[in-house]
Amino acid sequence: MKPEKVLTFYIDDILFGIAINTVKEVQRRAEYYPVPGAPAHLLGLMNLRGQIVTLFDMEQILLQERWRERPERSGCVVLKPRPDDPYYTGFLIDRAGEVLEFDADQTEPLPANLRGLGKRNLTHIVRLSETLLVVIQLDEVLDSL
Amino acid sequence: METVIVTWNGRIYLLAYSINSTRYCLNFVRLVRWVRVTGCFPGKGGHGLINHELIRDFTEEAREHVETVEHALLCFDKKMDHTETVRDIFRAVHSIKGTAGFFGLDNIVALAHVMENFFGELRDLRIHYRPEMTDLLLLANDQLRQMVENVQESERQDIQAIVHGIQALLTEPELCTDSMPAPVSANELVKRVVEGGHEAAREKGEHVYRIKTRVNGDMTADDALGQKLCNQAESIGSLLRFSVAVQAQSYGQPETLFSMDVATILEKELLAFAFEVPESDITELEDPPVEIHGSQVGAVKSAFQGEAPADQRQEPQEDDQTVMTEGNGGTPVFLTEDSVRVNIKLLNELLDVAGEMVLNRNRLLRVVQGYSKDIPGLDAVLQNLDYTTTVLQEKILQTRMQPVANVFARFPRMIRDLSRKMTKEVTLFIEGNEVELDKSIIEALGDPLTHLLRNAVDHGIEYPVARELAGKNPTGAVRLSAYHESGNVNIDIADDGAGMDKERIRQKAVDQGLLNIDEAWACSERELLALIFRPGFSTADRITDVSGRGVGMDVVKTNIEKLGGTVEVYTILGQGTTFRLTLPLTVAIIPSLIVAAGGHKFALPQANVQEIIRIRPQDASRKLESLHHQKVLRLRNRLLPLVSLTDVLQLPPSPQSPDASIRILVLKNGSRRYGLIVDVIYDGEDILIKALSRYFRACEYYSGVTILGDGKIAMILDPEGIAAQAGLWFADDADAEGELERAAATCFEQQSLLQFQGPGSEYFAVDMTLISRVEEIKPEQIEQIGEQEYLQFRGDLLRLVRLENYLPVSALDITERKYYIIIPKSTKLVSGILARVLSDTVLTDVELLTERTRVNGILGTMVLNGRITMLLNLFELMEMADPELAAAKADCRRERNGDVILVVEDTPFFLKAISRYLEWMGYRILNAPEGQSALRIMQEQPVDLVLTDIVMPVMDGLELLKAIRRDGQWSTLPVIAMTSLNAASRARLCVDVGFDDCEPKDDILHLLNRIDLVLQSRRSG
Repeated sequence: MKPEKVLTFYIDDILFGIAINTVKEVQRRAEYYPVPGAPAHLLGLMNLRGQIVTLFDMEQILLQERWRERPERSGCVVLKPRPDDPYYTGFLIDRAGEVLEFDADQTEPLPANLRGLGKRNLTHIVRLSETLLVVIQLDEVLDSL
Repeated sequence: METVIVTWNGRIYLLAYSINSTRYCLNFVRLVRWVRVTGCFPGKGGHGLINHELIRDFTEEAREHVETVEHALLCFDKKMDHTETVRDIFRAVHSIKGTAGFFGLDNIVALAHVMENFFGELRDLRIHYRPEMTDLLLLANDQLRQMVENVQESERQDIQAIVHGIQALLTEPELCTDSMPAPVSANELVKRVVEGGHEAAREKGEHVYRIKTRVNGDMTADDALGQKLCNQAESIGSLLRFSVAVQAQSYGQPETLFSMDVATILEKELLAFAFEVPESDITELEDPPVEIHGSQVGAVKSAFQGEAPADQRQEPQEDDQTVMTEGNGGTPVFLTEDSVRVNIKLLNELLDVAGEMVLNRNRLLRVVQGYSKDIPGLDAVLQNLDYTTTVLQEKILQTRMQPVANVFARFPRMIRDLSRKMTKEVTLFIEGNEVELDKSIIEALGDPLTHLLRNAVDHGIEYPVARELAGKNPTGAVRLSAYHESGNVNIDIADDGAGMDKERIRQKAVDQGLLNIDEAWACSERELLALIFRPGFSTADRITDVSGRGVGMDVVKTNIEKLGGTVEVYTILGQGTTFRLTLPLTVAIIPSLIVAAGGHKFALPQANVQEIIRIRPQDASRKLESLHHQKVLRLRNRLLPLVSLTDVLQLPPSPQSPDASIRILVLKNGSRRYGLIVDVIYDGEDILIKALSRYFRACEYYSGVTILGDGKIAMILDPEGIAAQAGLWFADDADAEGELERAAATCFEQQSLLQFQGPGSEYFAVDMTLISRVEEIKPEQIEQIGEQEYLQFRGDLLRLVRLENYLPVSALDITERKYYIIIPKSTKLVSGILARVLSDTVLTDVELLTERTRVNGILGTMVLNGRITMLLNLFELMEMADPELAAAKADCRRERNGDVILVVEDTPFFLKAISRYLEWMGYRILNAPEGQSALRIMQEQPVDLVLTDIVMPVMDGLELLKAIRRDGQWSTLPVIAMTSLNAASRARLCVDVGFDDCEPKDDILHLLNRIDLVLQSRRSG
C-alpha cells in the first residue's frame, strides 16, 4: 500500500493529521466572524479572498468531553471543497506541524481508554517513533456535521 | 453550420463553419486540433468518433434553428405573405442538415432533408401552402428538435411516418424533380447526373473520383441507403453522378453496386476514410491540374482571417442547395451576429471576481484616503479606478440579464396545441417581451409559467359555446405580460375565463378534509384562494391529461418563492383569473441596508424594508407598549408587532445607544408587516449574495451571506425566517376585507419633495418620485463640449442642466467644493440638474401658491421650510434643455392632441401638478374637485378619459365610477383611479370595483405612461 501523506497540526497539544490531498491551504492568521444563532460546532465565517469559508470547531467535535479555556487560535486549515459539497470549509488549529508520511501498518484504531477522542470513528492513531499522531477521517467528520 | 474543406500547411481539413463568423474560427481551431489528434474526420467513422464539444455546438445551434422554424411555422397561420418566412425556414433546416451530415447523423439529415425539400418547393412556388400542413410540419419539427436535443438517440428514432407524410405533401401537386436528390424512381439505374459537372469541377481544381460501394441484396429500392450515400458525398464535396446497379454475385445472391462520381479537393485516402471503403474502390477519373486555382487560394486565405467569402463554397452544383445564404440577386449575404457564447459558469466567476474587485477598491480608497495631498495624481487615478470598477461590475451584471422573451417564446405554440386539444378557442397575448431578468430566474420561470398557462386554458377559459352563452367572445384571451413595478418585475397570467368559484373552493376544502366546516366559513376570500396552493388541492371535477391532478400549484408557489418572488391570485367569478408573479430583477446583487445588533453586522434586503422609524425617548406620542411580554408600536392607528433582532438571535443584550433611541425597521413580506428592532442602522449597500453552506441550513433567519465593502462578513437577514423564529403568527390577512376601506381612510395624500438651492439663492423643489438619483460631484468632473457641459456618469455622457440658463433665476458667482446632480427618471440617462446645496426632503401637503404668470419649467411656487420655493416641472425643463427631446415630444403631442382628460381630485396640489403634466404631454384637461361636479362636466362636454382620486368629499371615486358605469353612453369610457394605496389594494380596486386601471399617486411618470397606453389602445382599437 502506498504510504499516506498527512498534514500535521496541534490542537490542545495533541498532534493531529489530515490527508494532505484534502487541504487547500494553511492560513497563519485567520480572522473570522461568528454567526449568531448558528450551531455550536460552527465557529463562524472567514473571508478568504472573496470566498466564504465556513469554519468549524474541530476541537469541540473531536474532544467533546474536554472543555478548556480556549487559547487565541490563530492558524487555520482551509480544506478543498468536496465534489458533492461545493462550499469551502476549514477549522482552527493551534499551530501547524510538518507533512508526514507513514505506512498503513503503523496505524491502528484508538486504544480503548481514548474512546472519548474519537467518537463515531472519526480518527485512528499512528505510532510515530517519538510521538503518537491522531489521523482525522475528514470525510466522516464533515458528514457528521 | 456548413462544412467546407480547406487546405492549410499542405494538409487538408474539413472545416465546420457557421454563419456566425465569431464562432467560425473557434470551431475551426477545435476541429483542426481534433483532426490532428485523431487523424480522421469526425462522424463518418461512426458515433464513437464524434467529438462531444462539437456535438454540443451542433445541438445548441440546431436548437436555435428549430426555434426559428417553429416560430416561422406559427406565423404561417397568421400571415398571408410567406416568402420571407419560407426562406427563413429553408435556411434553418438546411443548416441543420448540413451539420448533421457532417456528423453522420443520418436520421436527422433525412428528416431535415425532406423538410428542406418541402420548403424549397414552397419557396419556388411549385406547391402551395395549405393551413392543414402546419400540423404535420410542426410535428416534423418537434421530431427534429427531439433528435437534435438527444443526438445519441437520434439514430434509433423512427421517422419514416413523418418523412413519408411530408413526401406525400410534395407529391400532390406537380413537381419538378430535377432540382434535388429527392427520392427518384427505384428502377432507374442512373439516379442523378450533373451535366458538365466533371469539367466544372476540374476547372476549379477539384479531384473527381468514382467510388464504388457494394451492398448485399437488391437494394435498388432502398432510397434511404442511396440517400445516405448521396448525403455523405454532399457533405465532403459535390455529387456529380450517382447510379445503382444490381449484379449477381458468385454465391448466387444479388449484390447492389452504388457508383458515385464525386468532386472534392480531398485526397484519396481521406475520401476512403470518409466513406469507409477500401482505397481500391476509389478511382480517380482523370488527373486534375496540380496547381490550386487562384480563387480557391483566396477563399482559403480569407477563411483563416475569419471572413466568410462569397466564393467559399466550391460545389459546381448551382442548384438550390447552395442558395442558403444567397438572396435572389445571387450576391451572398453572410449574416454576422456580434455575439459569442460564454459558459455561464465563467460569467458567474467573473461576477464573483468583479464583486471582489469592488471590495478591494473600497479598501484601497479607505487606505490611501489621507495621502491624496502627498502623492500628486493619486486622486485622478483613484477616481478612474473607482469609475471603471463600477462600470465593470455593472456590465458583468448586465451579461446575466436576458429578456423574458426567451421563456415566453415557447408559449404561443403551447397554447395553440393546447387549445386544439381541448377544442377551445384561445388567443395568447404577450406583452413586455423586452423586460429583462437575471438568467437564472428566466430559466426557472419556464415550468411555473407553463403550468399557470395550462391551467388558464384548461380550467380558466370556457368552451366556445359556454362563452357565447355567457355573452363573451367565443375566443378566449390569455394575457401574459411582464412589466416593471417598484424595483421588481411582475408577470401577469390573466385569462378572461370562468374565474374561480370561491364557494366551490370552500366546499372542496371541506370535502378533502383540509378545513372543517366552521373553519371553512370563517375563511376570508384571500385565505380561500391561498388553498389552491396547497399540495393535492384541486377543484377540477375531471382530471385531464393537461391539468387537474392537484399537483402543480404548490410547486409553482414553491418555485417562485425560491427565486425570491411571490405569487398572488385575483379572480372574479365569470370574468377571469389573474395570477401575478412578482420577481426580483436579479438574484445576484441586491440593494440592502446594513444594520447591527449585539455587535454583529447584518444586511437586510431593501425590498423588504418599508419604513425606518426612530423613536427618541422624548417622543411622547410614539412609544412602545408591552402586551403579554411582547412589544407593539402604534403606527398610524394600527398596531405593529415588534421583534428584537437581539432576542431572536439570542445575542447578549446590547448596551443602550447613547441617545437612547429605539430604531425600528418596518419589514414587509407580502402583506405581512412587523417591526424589527436593531441597535444601529448604517448605510445602504449593494451586496453580492453568496449562498450559505449546508452547515447553516438550520438557521432559517438567514437567506445568505455577503462580504461588505470593508471586507467583513455579514449575514443576510430573511424577514420571513425571523418572523418564524420569533413566533409571529399572521392570520393571513383575515382583515384584508376591511383593509381597503381602512387604508383609504388613513392614507395621507402628501407629496414627497426634494428641496435644494440652485445656482443662486433661490430655493427649488422637485417631486421625489420623478427623480432617479442624486449624485455628489466635484466641479472638476464637469467637462465642456461646445456650448454644452457634460458629466461622465456610469459610462454615459450626462448633459448638465444649469437652471439659470432656462429659468429666470439669479446665479451667484461662487464655486463650491462639491455639487449635486439631480437625475430625473427617464428611459435613459440624458440630463441632470445641477444643484448647489441640498436643503431637505419634505413630506408635505403644502398648497401651491397661485401664480399669475406661467413660467415654462416651473409648476408653481410654495412655501417650504419657511422659504419660498419653486416647484420644477421636470418634464418641461428637460425638454427645454434637450431640443431633440422636444422635437420627439412634439410628434407625440400632435397625436394626443384633442384627447380630453377629466381630472377629478380634491387636493389642489395634485390637481394642479397632474393637470400641468398632462397638458405638457399634449392632452386637454378638464378639472373637477369631486364626483358630482365631474358628472356635471361630463354631461356638458365629451371626455376621453377620467382620472380620479378615490377619497374625495361629496362624491368619492368609487361612487363616481358607479355613476359613470350606470350611464350607458359611458360604459366603455376608461376610468383610471389614482390612489396612495398599496399594490394589492390597487389590484383589488381594479378587479373588484371595475376601474380600468389603478395607479399609485406617487409615481407620476408611471401614471402618465399608463394614461398614454390606455388612450392609445382606445385610438387604435
